[in-house]
Amino acid sequence: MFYNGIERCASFAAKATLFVSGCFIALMALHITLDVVLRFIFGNSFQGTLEVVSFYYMVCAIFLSLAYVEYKREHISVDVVVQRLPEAMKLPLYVFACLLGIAYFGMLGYQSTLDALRATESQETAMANFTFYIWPSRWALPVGFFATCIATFANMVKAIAERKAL
Amino acid sequence: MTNLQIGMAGIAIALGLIALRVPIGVALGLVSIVGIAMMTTFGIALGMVSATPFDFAGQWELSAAPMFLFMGYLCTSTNMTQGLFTAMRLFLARLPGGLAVSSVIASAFFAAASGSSVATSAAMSRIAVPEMLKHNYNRGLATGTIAASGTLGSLIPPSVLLVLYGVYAQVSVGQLFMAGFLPGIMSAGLYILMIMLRVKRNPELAGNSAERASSQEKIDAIKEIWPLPLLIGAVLGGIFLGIFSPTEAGAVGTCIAALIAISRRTLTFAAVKDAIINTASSTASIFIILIGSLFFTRFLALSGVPGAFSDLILSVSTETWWILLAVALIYLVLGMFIDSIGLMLLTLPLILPLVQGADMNLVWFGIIVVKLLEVGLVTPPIGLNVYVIKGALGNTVSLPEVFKGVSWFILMDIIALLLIILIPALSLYLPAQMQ
Amino acid sequence: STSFLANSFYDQQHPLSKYGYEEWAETVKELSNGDLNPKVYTGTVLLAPRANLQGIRDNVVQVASHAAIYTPADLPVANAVQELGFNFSDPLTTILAVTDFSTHNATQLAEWDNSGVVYLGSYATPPYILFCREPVRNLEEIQGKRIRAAGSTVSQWLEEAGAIPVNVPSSEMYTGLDRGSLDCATNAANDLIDRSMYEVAEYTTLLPTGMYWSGPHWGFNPGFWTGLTDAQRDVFKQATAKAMTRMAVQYIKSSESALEEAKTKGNQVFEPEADLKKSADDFRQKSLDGIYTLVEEKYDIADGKALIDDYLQTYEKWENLLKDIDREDEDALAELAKQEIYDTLPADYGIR
Ligand code: NA
Ligand code: NA
Repeated sequence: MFYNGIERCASFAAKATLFVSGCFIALMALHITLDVVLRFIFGNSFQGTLEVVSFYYMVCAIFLSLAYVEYKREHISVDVVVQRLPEAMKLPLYVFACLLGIAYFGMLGYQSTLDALRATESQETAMANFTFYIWPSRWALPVGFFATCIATFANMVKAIAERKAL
Repeated sequence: MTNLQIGMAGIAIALGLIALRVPIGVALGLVSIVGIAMMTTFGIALGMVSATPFDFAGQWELSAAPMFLFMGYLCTSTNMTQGLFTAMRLFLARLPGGLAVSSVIASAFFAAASGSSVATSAAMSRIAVPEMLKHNYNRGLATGTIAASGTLGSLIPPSVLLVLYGVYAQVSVGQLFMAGFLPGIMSAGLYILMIMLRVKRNPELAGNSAERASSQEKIDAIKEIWPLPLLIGAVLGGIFLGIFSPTEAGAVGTCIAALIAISRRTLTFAAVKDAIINTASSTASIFIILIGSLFFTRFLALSGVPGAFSDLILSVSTETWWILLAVALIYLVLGMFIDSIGLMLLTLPLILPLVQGADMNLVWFGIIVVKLLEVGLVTPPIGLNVYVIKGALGNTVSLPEVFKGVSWFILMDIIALLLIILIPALSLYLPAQMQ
Repeated sequence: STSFLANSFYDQQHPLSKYGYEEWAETVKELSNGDLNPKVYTGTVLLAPRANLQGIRDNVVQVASHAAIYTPADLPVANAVQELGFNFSDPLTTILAVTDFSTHNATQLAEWDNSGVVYLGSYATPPYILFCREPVRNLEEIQGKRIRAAGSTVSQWLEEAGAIPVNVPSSEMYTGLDRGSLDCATNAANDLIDRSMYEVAEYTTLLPTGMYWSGPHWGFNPGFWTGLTDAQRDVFKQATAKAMTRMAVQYIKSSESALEEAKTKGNQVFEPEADLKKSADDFRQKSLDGIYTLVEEKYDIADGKALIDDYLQTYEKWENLLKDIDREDEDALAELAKQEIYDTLPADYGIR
């Protein structure tokens, strides 16, 4: 029961954030290309491509797909050493790695929440040739990091339930 | 504990955690934060946390990486790469390791347009590696080829690293660009030579012995060649003509790839969805390591390890040959743990005065430095290009396979370095013609 | 002894790092007889450029340079004054006037206090001038040119003059000009040589298109500052007075010599023709006329007139103070800065 709930929660968080991240990746390609095409045809284009790409598309693309990577266990890691260890040690090591992951992403999530709150309060803007608000994109970090925490936790619970490292 | 001790313990613990299968980004980041907290306070470490990920991710130049990955994934998911590689397979049947050899050449062309090694690897990884694996190439050879050839991106001009070195050492960027050209071509040549020799000795590295093709098969293959050369030609041409910048090229390339796929009626919703999901998860898995290694660079910078290590080695002697050897040692060792720009910023202030004192040519020295930094991109444990390949390919290859495959190329890099050092004209002939 | 970290995000050879941080650190050590022990980081090893204010506030570094244009929302007052950048072109007067203003104006002081930084001294760039692939001497030639520019006022003027202002990171400037995706870049003259711009932009136009000074070049963490002894704070003030004036003199010199060097390398250096110059002058006058309302509306400043007028008066004061002084006499300039700025600060300046 508990396990199913956490699994469903992790799956939803990972897929929902991935969906948003994917939209931003597609938008990034289209936006940059449109800018280039307009520039090529008319010699001039709209302002703000650099700012939107940097502070919105990139930030969202990176942090909002993080939970999916964890959910699918596609984090880049090295398993040559662990492979040679006795079977009995694999689960504790996996749980240990998950705990470290939760600690790390939890810390990043905690701090980025404070940063996002602060940015929202000050209506943070970035240097540009016009007024460019960046505070909304600050929220991609806590969302992404906490979703990653949930995904890691779900994987850990699953591993313990199945008594087998994932 | 002194900061220096904390720094060295940090390296050891990070390596230990990575060996225990802790995700690399997590191991690096966590050790750095705890280490910084031990050297200062936990509040300051959290301050570093708030100052790093957002500002790192929000960089226009870095958008080239996801966009080139996207382009590559779209090429694969719409089946655009197959024609060219099948044709090459047929026509290059007599060339040992033909696909790997052509991948090096393609990377060199790509490097001549793009300013960055990571962009070069990202673009080539999806296009070339799956095809080589399909033809049963040895995994290490296939991935190593792309990881190593990607490093040509910073040696063959234009190059962001050379621009940075130029600003830093106050030498002409134009001269550096000219100087990087021949060593870059030579490195590519050495890679090709090595691939051919290895495959000649052990044909299995390059998969099944080449199939004999009928002339009808060859004609069919030729019909399907065009999509990839058209795409790459458009991307490179656009950069050369100044229509778009190397950073923008990935996005434009993605859209051109989509148009080509539409014309071939292979652009399905599923193909696009597949490409986007893969781009997203590769981007995240690569960037979480990038962010971890950025924390690690900052942690090591604060610990003073890079400075102490450099000082120790440089203090032995001020003879030219020793300075060169010391620089190589410093960059090869620190290059295992610190990213290339950080490494340059941390070490050049210590090294450049000695280089100037020994009256070495700063342009030539810059090529040596950049070549060394490039080697750092493929050495374990923190080898950025390798992680890009791994991120792009997911679970089809394992990290040790890539590192093992790339070790042959590192050997070639060391030979290339020796040649660059022993024959300064390799770097300095072209700049001299310019003046 | 007190060890601390000092961070300048400009690269090590840049005048703002070389004189402002490397040499400044030496002076601090010397004046304190080794009691104050700075460890200087240059470039982006520790902090990204726009993260320096945060880094100071969180005590990641104890002293750092922060360009306020990177964080407009955090430092509206400093950015409001920077709106005048297009109207000035003398870095020496500016660096002293801005430091004087930033350490004495109540509104500006409240802003530093709010953002968690103690302001000790300014930077000022020489006026940015135009480096182009083709000659840009008059309004006709500037039409349709894609020009890398920083700052909203200069962008507006460029648009009005018929050019296209674009935002490109500095790392892409060289290749952009080389390949032709950029026609011109605006930068300080020393970048002609320091960034090898002369190789890809053969035509320089000496039209001032704004200068930059906003934000502390020496911003201290308030806790760190408060924890120092009076004698230590005095050392910092003296060292900063010295480094700041030397930095300004040397920055100007290196810009002038870069122009000369570029000429010997075949660069053509033009004065702007009358119509181009008039267009810029008219725009300056126009923006000066509207500056009070602009800063009130754009930066939410309560009394724009009081703020801007105080800055303009401070600038005028420094114009007069510098009239009878040798502008290259670093010692005399440092002494003047000490007398007029640092000696007039209250004893508890910056202390919480
Ligand atoms: Na290149
Ligand atoms: Na490495």
